[in-house]
Amino acid sequence: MKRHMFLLCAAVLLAAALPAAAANDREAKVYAITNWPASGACTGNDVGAWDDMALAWYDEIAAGPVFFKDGTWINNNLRREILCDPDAQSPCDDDARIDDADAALIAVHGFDMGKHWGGLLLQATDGDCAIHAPEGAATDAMFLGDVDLEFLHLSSCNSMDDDNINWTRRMFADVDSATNGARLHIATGFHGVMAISAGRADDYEDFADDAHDVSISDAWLDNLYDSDVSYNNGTNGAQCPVSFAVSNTRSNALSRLLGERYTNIYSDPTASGAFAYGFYDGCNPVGDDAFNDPNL
Amino acid sequence: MNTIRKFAALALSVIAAATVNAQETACDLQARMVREAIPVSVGSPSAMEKLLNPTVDAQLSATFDPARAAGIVRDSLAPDTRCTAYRKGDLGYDCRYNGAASVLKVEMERGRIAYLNRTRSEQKAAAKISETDAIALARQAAEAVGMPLRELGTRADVRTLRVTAASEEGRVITGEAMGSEVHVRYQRHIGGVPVAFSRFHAAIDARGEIARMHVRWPDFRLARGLSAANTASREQVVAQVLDQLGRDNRCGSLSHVVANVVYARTAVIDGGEGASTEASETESGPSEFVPALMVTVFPVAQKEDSGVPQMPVQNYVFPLLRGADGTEGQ
Repeated sequence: MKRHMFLLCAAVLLAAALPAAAANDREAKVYAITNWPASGACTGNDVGAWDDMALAWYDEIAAGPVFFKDGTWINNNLRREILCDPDAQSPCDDDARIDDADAALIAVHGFDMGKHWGGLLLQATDGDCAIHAPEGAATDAMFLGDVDLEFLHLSSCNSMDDDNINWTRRMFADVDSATNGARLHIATGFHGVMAISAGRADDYEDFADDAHDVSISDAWLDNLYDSDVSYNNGTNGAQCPVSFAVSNTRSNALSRLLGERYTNIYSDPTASGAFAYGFYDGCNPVGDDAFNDPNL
Repeated sequence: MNTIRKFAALALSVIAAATVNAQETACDLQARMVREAIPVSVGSPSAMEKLLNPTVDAQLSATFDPARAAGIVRDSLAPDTRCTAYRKGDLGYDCRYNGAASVLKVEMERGRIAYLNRTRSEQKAAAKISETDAIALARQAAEAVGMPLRELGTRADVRTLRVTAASEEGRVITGEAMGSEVHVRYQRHIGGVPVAFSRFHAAIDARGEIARMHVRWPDFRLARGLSAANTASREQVVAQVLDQLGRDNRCGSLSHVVANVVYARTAVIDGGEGASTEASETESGPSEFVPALMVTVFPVAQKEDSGVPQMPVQNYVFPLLRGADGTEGQ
């Protein structure tokens, strides 16, 4: 209850906040997995360069005037508890972990399940190795922004598939949001399969840098698109970034998508029933069909 | 042991053997995919000789002109007071040129130039310019910034960035298109060989103005002391690729492999003697290039909505010379 009162006050203050934050007082965090041991309960291919990419973002966002490095969680039994919402499941500690940050990046293997994204973790909880974004199912676990988080970046396959886009907004609030007014502002991810390489760390660095000068959405879409992930002859599949914002009206959601940046942080959205998203028309990734906007 | 137990034991041993064989088959298949993907030129000293003698035009640090860059983006930009005076060829040049709601950022060591116009970017209009006009403007912009145009090649990737807004009313979600931009991108080639992770990108708004431009085109300099005499044999390269891919990727998790010869910065080379970032930085500098083999592994695609973890694409960059940055045998 005390926490809710505090959050209510914080929300009121946030609503009146000026766009620019004070110097380096906002928290950035990274959650990433590079090794899924074959002997572990949860297995997947190893991706040694994933933390290079995540940390390139982390270093660069903290090099700007708004955010500071508040911690990384790389491998180390990353499990559902760290990322899930205590109002949804138990045990869950996102209040003190990812939802305590202002900007966070998650880098894990992803999947498309029904109408939502899921992330493969290192340790099973209740027999499940995954964290699930919500879609109105019993697995719903990742509700963010109801404590503090404003910006979520998913470096993960299928994290924003076209067929899941109408459910993505459910991640932006939980049951507390109706009373404390706190919600996630912007999320970014990928339609289809993404690509990993040490050479792609520059993309994440430049994204973090550019998101101080133009919208987070434009910075993500500009820097994370790749016409041919193999640098071969342009026919082997693209990397298709997607950006997403919510609000109470379409025009407000659009305004947030096109205007919110690391140096221009809006007050929390007052609802998540309307949303706006950016994408590349017809972007045809590895492992999925070309992006097909379900709302047009 | 009665007959039933004997039969059960035999059946179990057959199943176990079949499992091992299936695993071996999947691993063998993966190894074959790698071998077949690696170009025949790998391991050839004569092919390496050509790679070590490319024709290279004047590079960005020598040709960049901030005034011409400001002209092509039709913006009034002033260097930040902390900038040192610009000198051609200065790889250490690092500066922000500020406009009213825009910035031109230059990090010459990384070959990075980024122009970001906030006003134009936030006013995405429903209309858009033609692809032909967008390509023409993008090429003019590349030239104005000082990029060696031959390295752009002729194949442009043209995409439309779209923005949709939607809402749920009475359990029905409806949406509307809210704006677009035309994006033109080029990959970099030198002598027809791709330069990994370099790029040029212009985002053009409905009025035909550049809303954003991204250049990552570090000066092309081969690392010192590279010699075709140090060309790694095909078998050495194949062994290194198989070793790395075998460690990272479970057998049966890949659908196919694509491999091609590229130029890559020494800082992004995977594995190999002397290939660590540390070694690269001390021996040859992070922005020097070497001929390398880019191996891209494509995962088995999981069915939509299946809930089965989807492995990502991974790009590996392997050295083609013994001593990843050519330091061995100098």
